[in-house]
Amino acid sequence: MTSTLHPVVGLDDVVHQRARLGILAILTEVAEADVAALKAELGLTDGNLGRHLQVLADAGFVTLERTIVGTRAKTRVRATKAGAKAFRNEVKALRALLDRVR
Amino acid sequence: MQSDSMTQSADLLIEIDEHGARTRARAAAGWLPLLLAGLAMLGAFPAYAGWWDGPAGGCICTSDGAPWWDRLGVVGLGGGSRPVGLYWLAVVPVVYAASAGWFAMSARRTGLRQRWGLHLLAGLGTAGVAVVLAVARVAWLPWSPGALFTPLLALAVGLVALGLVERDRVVTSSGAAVAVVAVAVSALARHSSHLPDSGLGNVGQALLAPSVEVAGLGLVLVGAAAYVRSANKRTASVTPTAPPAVPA
Repeated sequence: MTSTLHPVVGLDDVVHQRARLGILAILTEVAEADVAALKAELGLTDGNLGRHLQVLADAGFVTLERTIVGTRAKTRVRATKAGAKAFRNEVKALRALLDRVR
Repeated sequence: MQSDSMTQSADLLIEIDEHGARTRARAAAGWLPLLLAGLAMLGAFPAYAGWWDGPAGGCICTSDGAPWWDRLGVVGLGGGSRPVGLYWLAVVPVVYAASAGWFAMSARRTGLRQRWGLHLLAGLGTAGVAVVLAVARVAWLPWSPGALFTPLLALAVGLVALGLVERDRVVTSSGAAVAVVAVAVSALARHSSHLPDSGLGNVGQALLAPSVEVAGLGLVLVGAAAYVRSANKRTASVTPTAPPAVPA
């Protein structure tokens, strides 16, 4: 039955956003990443990245861990199992969508 | 409209792949463990060749007159009465400690931490099994699979795990090649008494050091090449400049 559904059904509103998809693409490659590394890779501002991370954290797709290193606060981000799964499903849905029109 | 949407989806997939590839390149730290494993193998030469007679400070001998480290020969990498076993048991923890330090430094520098714990766990776990079996072999068992689980195999298993974690085929295949050498060397060490004598000495024993050294040299070269490749990839990685829109 599921094979007859349009691939767009598989898209997740939380994940289907360019910056959030980028965050999950990075986090599924490594165990964890600092906010500074995410910022550098994605070219986002602090505020913008913070908002995207909060959306993902509220959905249970990432965990945020704030630590103090020396005199500076550092935030480490890691993808949860649900986040990694949502990312894989999103990529699968996008590929299916493209395959459908090719 | 549909065409626009498809183009956007295709662009998004390309962007995702690029983020992944750049992240892997930036987080890659496998070249140093490769180099360290190669240097550890090259460093075994003085022990195999008899240039190193074991720890200085006089012979602390067992009741039968052999030095205390003599029984460590049971780690299965040959060497007879030479301190080869002692060398291997000492060098493997040093290699893993140096790798752990390197990973911590690399994570601080890049802000990306790989699942390096698996590499350390696999390698040190294999080394632990090798030590337990070697002790069991001396204490209770006339024969045990201790000859297969050698400290050299511990280096190989660690490299294979590291290659899988970093999704780096060069590191994985180098680890697999070292595993083949480790199994071959332990087989040579175990069965050397069945091999013919060349007149200058036992063929099996004579092949041990060259096998380890040639493989070690190969690993050092592969490690150096991996460093150059990793540096080039990091330099080539371009960070996107246009920030995506704030979410609705």
